[in-house]
Amino acid sequence: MRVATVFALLGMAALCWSTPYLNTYLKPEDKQSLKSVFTKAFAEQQQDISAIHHAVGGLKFLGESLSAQDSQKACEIAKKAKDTDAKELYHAAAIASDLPSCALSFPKAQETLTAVAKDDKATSQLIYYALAAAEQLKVKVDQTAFNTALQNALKKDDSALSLTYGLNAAVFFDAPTATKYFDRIEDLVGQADEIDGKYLQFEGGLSVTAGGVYAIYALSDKLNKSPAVKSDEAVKFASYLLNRKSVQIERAAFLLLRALKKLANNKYQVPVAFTLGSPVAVNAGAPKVIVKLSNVFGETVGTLAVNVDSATHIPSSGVVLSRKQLAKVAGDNTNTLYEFNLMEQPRERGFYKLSLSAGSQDKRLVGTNGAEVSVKVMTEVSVEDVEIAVFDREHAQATNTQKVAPGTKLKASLEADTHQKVIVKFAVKEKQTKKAVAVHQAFIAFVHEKTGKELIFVAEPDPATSVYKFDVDLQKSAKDFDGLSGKYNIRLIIGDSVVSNAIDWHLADVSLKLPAAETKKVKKSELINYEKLPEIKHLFREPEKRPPQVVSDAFTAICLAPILLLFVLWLRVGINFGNLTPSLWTLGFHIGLAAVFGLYFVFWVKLNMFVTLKYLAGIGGVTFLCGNRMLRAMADRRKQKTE
Amino acid sequence: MKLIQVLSKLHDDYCAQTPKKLKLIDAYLVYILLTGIAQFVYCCMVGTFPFNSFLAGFISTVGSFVLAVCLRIQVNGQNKSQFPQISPERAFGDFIFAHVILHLVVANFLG
Repeated sequence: MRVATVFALLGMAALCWSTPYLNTYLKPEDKQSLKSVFTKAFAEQQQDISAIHHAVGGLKFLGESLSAQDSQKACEIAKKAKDTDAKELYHAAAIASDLPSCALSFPKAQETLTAVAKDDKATSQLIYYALAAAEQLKVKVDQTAFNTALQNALKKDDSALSLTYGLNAAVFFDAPTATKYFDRIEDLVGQADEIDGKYLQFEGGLSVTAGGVYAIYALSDKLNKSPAVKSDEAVKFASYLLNRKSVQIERAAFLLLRALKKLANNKYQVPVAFTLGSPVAVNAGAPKVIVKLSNVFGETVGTLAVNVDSATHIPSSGVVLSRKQLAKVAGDNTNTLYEFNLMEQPRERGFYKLSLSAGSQDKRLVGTNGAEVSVKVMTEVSVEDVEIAVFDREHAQATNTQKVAPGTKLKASLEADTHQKVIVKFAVKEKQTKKAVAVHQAFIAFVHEKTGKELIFVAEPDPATSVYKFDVDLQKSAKDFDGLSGKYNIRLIIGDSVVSNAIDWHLADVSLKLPAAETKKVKKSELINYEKLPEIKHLFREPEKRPPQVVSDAFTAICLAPILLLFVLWLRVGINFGNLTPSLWTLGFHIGLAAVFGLYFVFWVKLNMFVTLKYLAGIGGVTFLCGNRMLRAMADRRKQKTE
Repeated sequence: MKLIQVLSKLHDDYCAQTPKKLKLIDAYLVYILLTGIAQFVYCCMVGTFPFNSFLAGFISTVGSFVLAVCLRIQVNGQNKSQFPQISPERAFGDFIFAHVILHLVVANFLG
């Protein structure tokens, strides 16, 4: 028992740590997306010589040629590069070398590039730019000086980024000098990080990884030495690079393509991609599985001996086939496709895992073992023994069961209310073998005929008999129907990922009588209303009711009437103006007083307080003076009289 | 019967003993009182709307009444001892001045 457990664990470990393999390659649609990255960069970043370089170089890798006009444009941009800047020289030289005819002349190039070697602070990146530019511009530079500078730069900084550029630069040295850098490949690979046991990458991401991979194989090719990279590692690098094929930055895309080109064509390690060349679904009508073996660019890697090591039925873990050789597909121009017939014998439906391996004379090929592809065997099912019944919910058994013939609708319309249950029974069977099947999805849908409202129930199979049974108690489920009475269509829906004929079958119609559901009160603040609200208009305050004209006029008269009484009384008392002394002051006072009250009247009619006060100060002042004089005169006279 | 006698006695005494000046002021007071009563009746029967106008009118009558009463008190010869410094002319001047101020407010309230 214990031994078995240990073996099981080992088996699981072996599954987890199985040999890596490449399961994708750069497909035509990926090339198209990279092409659009480059054309976009070329069109939109005319000011940036780096973007133009990567766009032109990337398009060349993809085998796309620029129009004469665009070539001219790119060449003009290259010609405008500053020849005092090693980086710009590098980009300009690279553009020129990618174009069919573009002659550059940079008088200061020699001086600029030589200066890089003498600069203590030069990074390996700058040294790479200088050496690459010198190579392409055919400028002679002192290799010994550059060697020393590069050694110094790598001593100062031995990060993956620095090493990557260092190795790239070393490619431009003569063989004896370059050999000194060959050991650094191991240092660089040692810095790679593994992700999920499937990918290897350098710190800094895609551009560093792509640059590093390119440098490793370029240097190995130059020195004719096999690099210190295990075949697993090569596959993992390739997996990482292909995983990033949707990159949108032109520089990273350019470096990616350059690295993939090198991985597809170098002297030591060429990863092989295993992909499925036929649809995932296999059935009796299309029994063949086609596998494509190619390099990362989808190109042939020569004729191979391809075997299915085993085919495993995933649901049951049963091995159904082992050690079978695949035949080349007839009429395949790409020389990458191999096929075999999975359906030689009837196969159980479900997913199959195919373990593949390839043998070749070509020693460069890596990742040729332990590859896996998945296919699924589809089957057709039929629904049989369909029974439908409506019966009293108190009863344990259905009483008036009605059978529905396959593919037809029940003729009689059913009726049900809240005292009843609706029950549907059916069996799902494989068409050929007539074996009962448990499918992923088996639903009974009630569709209200008028409103189209759907209510979907799950039908469960009986574990003993594999017969699907579904029942709905209308009293309990009335609220699920929202109390919506009327005619419902009962539909049977069957689906599964390994069933090729999904079924949607209109079984019967049923009229349901359900108590209307209580409509929930929704607070006004919680009510969501998407309708247009009425326009808000300003409302003036409604004036209060006024009395009829007659009443107010009458009271005006009544209020004025006492003044008559006043005159009458005054006359009776004997009013006289005997005390009125004719003088200027008296006149001024009376006129002033009248003027004050006149001003008040005008104030009432139209003036405001400030204006009124201004006038009042004048009139009031005069009136006060006159009044004062007049009253003093009167007082004096009164005193004289009494004396 | 006695009431009538008392009232007629009061009327006769008033006519005979009250100076003419005070009678004039009293007539004025009656006039103000009647006007104020008319306004008050209107307010009770019809309502105070527009309130500012009612207020202005009523303030005017009440204010005038109070000022006239003050004038009467100060002018009355029997009260001479209480207001030795104030001559009738001075009292009348105050009366006029107070009216000017009062009616500025009233005009302001009239709206």
